[in-house]
Amino acid sequence: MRAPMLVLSAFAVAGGALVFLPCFQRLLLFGNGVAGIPPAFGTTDILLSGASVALGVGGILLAWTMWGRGQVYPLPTSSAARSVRNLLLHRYYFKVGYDWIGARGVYTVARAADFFDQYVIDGTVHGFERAFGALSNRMRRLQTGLVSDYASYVVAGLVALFVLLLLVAPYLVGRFGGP
Amino acid sequence: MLPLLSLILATLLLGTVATFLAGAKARWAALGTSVAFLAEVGFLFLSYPGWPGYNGALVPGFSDQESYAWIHLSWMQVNYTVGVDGISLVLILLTAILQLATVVYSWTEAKRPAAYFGLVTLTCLGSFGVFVALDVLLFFLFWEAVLVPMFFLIGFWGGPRRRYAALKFFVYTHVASIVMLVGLLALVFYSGSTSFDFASIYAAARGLSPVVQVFLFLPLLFGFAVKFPVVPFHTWLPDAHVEAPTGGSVLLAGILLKLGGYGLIRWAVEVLPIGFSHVRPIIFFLAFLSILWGSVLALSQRDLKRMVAYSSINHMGIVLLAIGLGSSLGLLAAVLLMFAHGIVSALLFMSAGSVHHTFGTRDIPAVGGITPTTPTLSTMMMAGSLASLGLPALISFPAEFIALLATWDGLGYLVLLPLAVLVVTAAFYLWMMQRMLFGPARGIPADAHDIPSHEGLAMGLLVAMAVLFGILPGLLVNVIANSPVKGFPGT
Repeated sequence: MRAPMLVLSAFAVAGGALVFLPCFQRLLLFGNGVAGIPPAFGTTDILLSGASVALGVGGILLAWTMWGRGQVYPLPTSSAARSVRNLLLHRYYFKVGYDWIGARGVYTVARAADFFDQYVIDGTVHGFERAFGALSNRMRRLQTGLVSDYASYVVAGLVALFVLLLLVAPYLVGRFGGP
Repeated sequence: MLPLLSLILATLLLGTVATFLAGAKARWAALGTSVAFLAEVGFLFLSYPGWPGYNGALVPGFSDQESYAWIHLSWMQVNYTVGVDGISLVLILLTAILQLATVVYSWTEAKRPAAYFGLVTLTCLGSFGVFVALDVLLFFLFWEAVLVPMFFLIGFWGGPRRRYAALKFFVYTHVASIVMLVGLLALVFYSGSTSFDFASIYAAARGLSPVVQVFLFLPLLFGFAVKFPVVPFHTWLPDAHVEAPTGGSVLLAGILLKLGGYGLIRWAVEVLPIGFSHVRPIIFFLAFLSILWGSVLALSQRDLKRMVAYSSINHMGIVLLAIGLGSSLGLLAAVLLMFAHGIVSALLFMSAGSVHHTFGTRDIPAVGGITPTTPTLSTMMMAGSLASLGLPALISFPAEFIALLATWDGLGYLVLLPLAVLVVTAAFYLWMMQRMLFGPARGIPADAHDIPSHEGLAMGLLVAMAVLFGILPGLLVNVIANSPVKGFPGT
C-alpha cells in the first residue's frame, strides 16, 4: 500500500497547490464568472494557512529533535503518564475507531443494504414478473373460442371507453385544464 | 458546408456492414472503422466553436446541422435532422475513444469475431445517432438500435447467467423506452407541433401550461432514469455487467448509461423547463438515493465487476444531481462527469476482465498480492481506482470538483452528503487495492502472467485520456460551456 499512499500524498499536495494557479482559477470562472466563487485570498486566509503550516512544521521539527536519532525515553510501569503514553502509542485510538466504524458499522450496513437490494428491490420486480405470468395464464383461458364470449368482451370494452371519454376525460380537463 | 455528421454516420454504417461480412478479418474492419470514426470526430471537435484554436464567432445553436425531409404528411413531418452542440460533441468523442479501446482490448476474441466486432460497432453507431439526432423519430430509432446489439453481446458472449441478464437488461430498458416514447409523442402532439424536429417542438412547448409540462416531464424522466440507472430502477445493471463480456461492459458503462443523461438534458430539461423546475425535488431525491445506495452497496461486494457496477450507480447519481441543479455550472459538471465516468469505468471494467482472464476469478478476497505477477495490470487498476476516487490531475477530479462546487452553489450544506459519500468511494477502492494488489500473494495460478499487449494498449489509451483531460479539463470545458441549453438560467 506504500505506492498508492505515496501517490495520493504527492497528488494531495499538488492538488492543494492547484488553486493558486491562474489556469485553475480560470476553470472555476469559466464563462462570465458563473461559478460565483472567485478564489480570492484575504489576509486572514493567508495568516490562518501560514499558522497551520508553521504549527505542522514545528511539530515535525520537535519530533525530529526528540526522537530523530533513535532516542527512547523509558517510562516506569508505575508512572501516572502511562495512560497518556498508551494513548499516544495507539495514535489516539483513531485507527481502532476507523476500523470499528468501517468494518463493523459501515460494512454491516452495506451487507444489510445488499440483502435489501437483492431480495426486496429485485424481489419486488421478480414478484411482478410472476404476477404477470400468472395473469397472462388466466387471460389465455379467456380465449374460449365462443363468439358469445368475445361479443361480451367487445361490449365491456365499449362501455369502458364511453366511461373514459364521457366521464373521466371531461373531469380531468375541467380539473387541470386542456393542452 | 461538408455534411460531416452524415459522413460519420455513413462511415460507421459501412464499417459495421463490412465488419459483419469480414469473417476472420472482422477485427481489422472494426479497427479501421474505429480509427476513421475517431479521426472524423477529432476533425469535428477542432472545427467546433469553443475549441481554443477556433477563430470563428461564437454562435449559439447547433453546429453542423443538416436537415432533409423524410416522412411528410399533412399532420406529421418527420425529418432526418442531425446536429451537434458542446454537450453531444463531448459524448461523441467519448464514444469514439471507447469504440477504439474496446476493439483493441477484444482483439483476440475468438468466438464468432465478425458478429462480436460488428455488434460493437453497431452499438457505437446507435449511440452516435442518439447524440446527433434532432428529430424525435430519428432519436428513438437510434435509441432502440443501441438496445439490440447490447442484448446479443450479453446474451451470446456473456457468463453463465447471460440469458437471464440479457433478458433483464432488455425488459428493463425496453419498458423504459416505451414509456419514453409515449412521453415524446405526447410532447409532440400536446405542443401542437406537426413537425418532429427538435427546434419546432422546443418552440411549441413554450406555450404549454405548467401542469401539462409536469405530466409530460414525468414519463421522460422515468424513461431516461432507467438508463442512468437510478435507484430503485437499477437492478438490471449489476447483473448485466457481471454477465456481459468485457467489451460489452465497457460500452454499457462507458456509453449506454450516458444516453440516459444526454436524453434527459436534451429532450426533457431543455424542452420542458417549467416542468423540470416542478419535478426537481423528485430528481434530487432519486439522485441522493442513488449516490448513497450505490456507494454503500459497492462497499459490500466481493465480485470486482459488481463493485464497479454499483460504483457506476453512485457516479451517475452525482450526474443526476448536477442536472437537477438546473444551473450552467451544474450542466457543465454533469457532462464532464459523464465523460470522466465513461473513461474511468471503462478502464476499471477492462481491469476486472483482465483479472478474470488471468486469475480465473473476480472474487476480491480470493486473489491478492498480484502486483509482482502482473505489474502492468496492477498499474492500470491502480490508475483506474485512483481516478475513480477523484485524485487530482486525473479526469474525475475536475468533474467532481465542479459538481461539488455547483451543489454548494445550488443546495448549500446538502453538499455534505455527496462529499461524505466520496469518502466511502475512496474507502472501497483503497480497500480493494489493498486486498488485491498488495500484501501476500494468494490465489495466483502457477502459469499466471501479465496481460497481453493489446489489453495493455487499450487500457493505456484510457489512462492517457484520463491524464490528458485531468490536467487540461479546459479542452472539454470550453466546448461544453458553449452549449446553448436554453432551459438553464444564464444561457
